Amino acid sequence: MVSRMLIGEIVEIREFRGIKELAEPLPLRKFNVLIGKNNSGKSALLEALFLFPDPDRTYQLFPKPWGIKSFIGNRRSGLKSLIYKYEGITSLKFKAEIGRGIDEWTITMSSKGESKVFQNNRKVESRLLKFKESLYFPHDTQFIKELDEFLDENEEALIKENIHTKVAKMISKHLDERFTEIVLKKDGWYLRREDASYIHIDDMGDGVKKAARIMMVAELLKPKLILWDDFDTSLHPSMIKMLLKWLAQGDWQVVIATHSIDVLYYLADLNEELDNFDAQLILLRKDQEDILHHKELDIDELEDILEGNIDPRLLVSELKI
Amino acid sequence: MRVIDERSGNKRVVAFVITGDGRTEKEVLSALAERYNGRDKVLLFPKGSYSKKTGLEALNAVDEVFKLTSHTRYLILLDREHFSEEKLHQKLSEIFTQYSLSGNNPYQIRSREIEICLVVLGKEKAIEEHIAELIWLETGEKLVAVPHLDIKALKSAIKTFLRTTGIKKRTKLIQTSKLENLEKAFKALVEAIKLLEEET
Repeated sequence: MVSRMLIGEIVEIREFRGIKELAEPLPLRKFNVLIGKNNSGKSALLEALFLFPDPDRTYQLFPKPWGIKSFIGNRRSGLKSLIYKYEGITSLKFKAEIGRGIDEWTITMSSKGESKVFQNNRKVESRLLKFKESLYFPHDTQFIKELDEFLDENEEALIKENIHTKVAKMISKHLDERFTEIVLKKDGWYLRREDASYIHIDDMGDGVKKAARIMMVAELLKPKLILWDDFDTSLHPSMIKMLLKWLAQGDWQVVIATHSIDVLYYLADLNEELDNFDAQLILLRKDQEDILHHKELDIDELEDILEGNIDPRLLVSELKI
Repeated sequence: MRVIDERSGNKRVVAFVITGDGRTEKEVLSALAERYNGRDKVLLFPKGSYSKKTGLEALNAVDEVFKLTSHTRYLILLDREHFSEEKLHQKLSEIFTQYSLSGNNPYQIRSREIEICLVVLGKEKAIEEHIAELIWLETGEKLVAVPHLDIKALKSAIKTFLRTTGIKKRTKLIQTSKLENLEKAFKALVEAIKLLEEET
């Protein structure tokens, strides 16, 4: 398996969303699973990663021509919601590899909406507005539905690369019906059954809508980084397992957030199934001062915890901080 | 003492509980611990929803939990069918560079930083034998003839007994039993609870 790592480490998160500060740098692996209580900073961490390398670039999947920071901010109470307690300057630092070698990247954003990017402490004058190497899938059914507009525009490429059949077949294995392909008709995307009848994607269950669209987008764009919030929502365990394996085998780096115990058990299973599965579980806990603490477990350590019949999700309250 | 999944408030955690076995242990431990004093003290038992019979392998979790949390005291519950003292020594020497082992069910294990109270459940196989013994002590009803113990059949006999007598739940049986009978039927587990109570 070729290892592609866009972001090697989150060096610093300061004054971002509900996080005052990241307690210590967070090293990332190729496959990362975030767990933590509600409001522990999982989504904020994914959003921080998505702002890299330039918060002013647009999101190719989103129909509105907004910068990434507006895409994130407007899903909440506006741009000010990106700044801790709505006032001051956010600073995000990453060790990441774009092109040659690993550099330290710093992004600053003010409550007035201004943002700056620094590469190894030097201000980047020509902004990275064309960077399209990361995909972020928030937990939002409307956003998932809006992916259709992007898929419509790329129908020919999806067909040419046989993505429409590959995804239909992969999903079918985990459904009671068999689908041969996903095709675009006048009023949207349809799944074609083996008997040549069709069903509109919006008439499928939420899990299928989400899995099919995200898989088609990712297979087409082949990004270097996939960020997926509330990964498990609406998904049957067998679909979770299939998607985890698909994500783990792709030539990209993955960071997902979950509350599902199934994800953790399947992660341990995948370690048995795949060679060189470079994965970790990241436990997050925010303290009273809004400092975000984290502890990492590699998959062998996760297996030990599961062998003791301990629920790793419940361990977050006990993290040594 | 109460058994909790997750800490809230200022309750004093007496021990972090790990089991190498099924669901019954948590129910029994919860019901039993509540019969003893120290209401401000708790046993933290963040048990996964899937139970696996992992036996002594469960001990591997101690080191990981210690690294992640600040817990130094553990109560470990294992079924007799997975246990031998030889295997225990083998496992302990895999986990700790130095340790001491004393007592005999409950076993007391001490390493430089960690204390473990290990309880082996079952006379031959599993915790159901203790429940059957409690039923016998409380009611005179003998549910199983040892040897040739079939735990599945015993589980089913316990269920039938609890249903037909109107007790219904294992926890209710423990809640309403005489303390002296609990101490006879769950000798090692009660000793461990008392030990943990006294030491904190």
